[in-house]
Amino acid sequence: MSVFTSPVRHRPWVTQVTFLSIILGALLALSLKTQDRIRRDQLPNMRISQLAAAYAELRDTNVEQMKKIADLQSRLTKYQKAAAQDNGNAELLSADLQKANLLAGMVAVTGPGVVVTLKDSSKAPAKPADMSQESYIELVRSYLIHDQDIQAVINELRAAGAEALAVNDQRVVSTTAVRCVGPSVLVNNVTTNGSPVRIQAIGDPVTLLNALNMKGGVAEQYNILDPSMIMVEKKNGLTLPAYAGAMPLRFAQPATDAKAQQAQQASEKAGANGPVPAEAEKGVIHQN
Amino acid sequence: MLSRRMLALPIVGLIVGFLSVYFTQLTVPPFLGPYLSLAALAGVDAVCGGYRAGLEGKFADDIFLSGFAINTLIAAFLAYLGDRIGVDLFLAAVVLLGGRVFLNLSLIRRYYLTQRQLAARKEA
Repeated sequence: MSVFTSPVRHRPWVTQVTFLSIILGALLALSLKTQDRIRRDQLPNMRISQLAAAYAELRDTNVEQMKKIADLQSRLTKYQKAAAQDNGNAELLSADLQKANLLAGMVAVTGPGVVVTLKDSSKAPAKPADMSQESYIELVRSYLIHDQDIQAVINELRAAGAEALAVNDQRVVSTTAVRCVGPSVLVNNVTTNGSPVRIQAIGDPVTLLNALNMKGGVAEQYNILDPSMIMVEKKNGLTLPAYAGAMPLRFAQPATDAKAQQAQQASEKAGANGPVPAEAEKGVIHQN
Repeated sequence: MLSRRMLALPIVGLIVGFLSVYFTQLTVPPFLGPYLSLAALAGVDAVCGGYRAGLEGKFADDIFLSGFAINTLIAAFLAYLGDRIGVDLFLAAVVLLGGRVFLNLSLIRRYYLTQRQLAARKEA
């Protein structure tokens, strides 16, 4: 076993071991890197079933996304084709889109109109001795601004031809709901000031003002309790913000031509034989 | 001493091989990771065994080379087979190979200690 006496004899095995050591080093490095990657991807902490579930979920999402991509691409192609065929067509589309965005409240708008301020009255009477607690609460309720008040104003303004509306600087769009939640008002699911409530409307200022102030109208009902609860003023150069939320339509889809025609006919029929003159008049206003 | 330097060559080779792969982007698919680790362990066992055999003067190149190639493959294959048939052969391979690596390393250590004692006695 005297290894060190004659080095030459032992050279072959050292060379071979060295050669395989290189391979072994490479193997170790590869293994280390792979394990590092696995650790980084957090794969080993999950059981196979979890992995399978996650994989299935991802695959489903993937399929969905692929469909979306295909859909978007086909639409893009359509638009591109239209653009290539006719530049005028594209311009028309763009103008249409601008108009639709304006109507839908997706862009900020500016123009003349009115500002309506509703606020809780401070003139609620003290509780009379002979009144029960419940009926007193009922009484006080009428001195406060509620969502019905706001909705009545919005409705009246719309009927009078308001083109854009905002409640407490939240744009009113087709999906907007105005609700009272406790002391505040929820508009577009944004919590805003409960009192005073500021409603801005863009439209013909005179028409809007008259619509609110007409006899038996929205403003008049406050005269009995406290006229200061509602304040209407004309204003030039109002600017309303764009609607900021998402507007996902999950259920509504464009109707097919046949169905659309049917619905159109029903709509025309309803307008033609309105039973009372007053009703018919409102119909005319809405159509405008 | 030339021969001493020669004996350090495998370690140098190990480092060279390690670095040459470590600084590439090379990896294997994650599901092969455990088998690769096992193959690497089998490789460690083979190299240690070869080194020990060399020191003891019992080195046979055919046994060494075939041992390295076949043991790595068999270790990986057995672990894979174990996974497929639901028996944890992975552990069996780890225990066996780990034990052998320990054994070989301890024999190499003993060999050097004995050498030193002999050298000291010769000087005395």
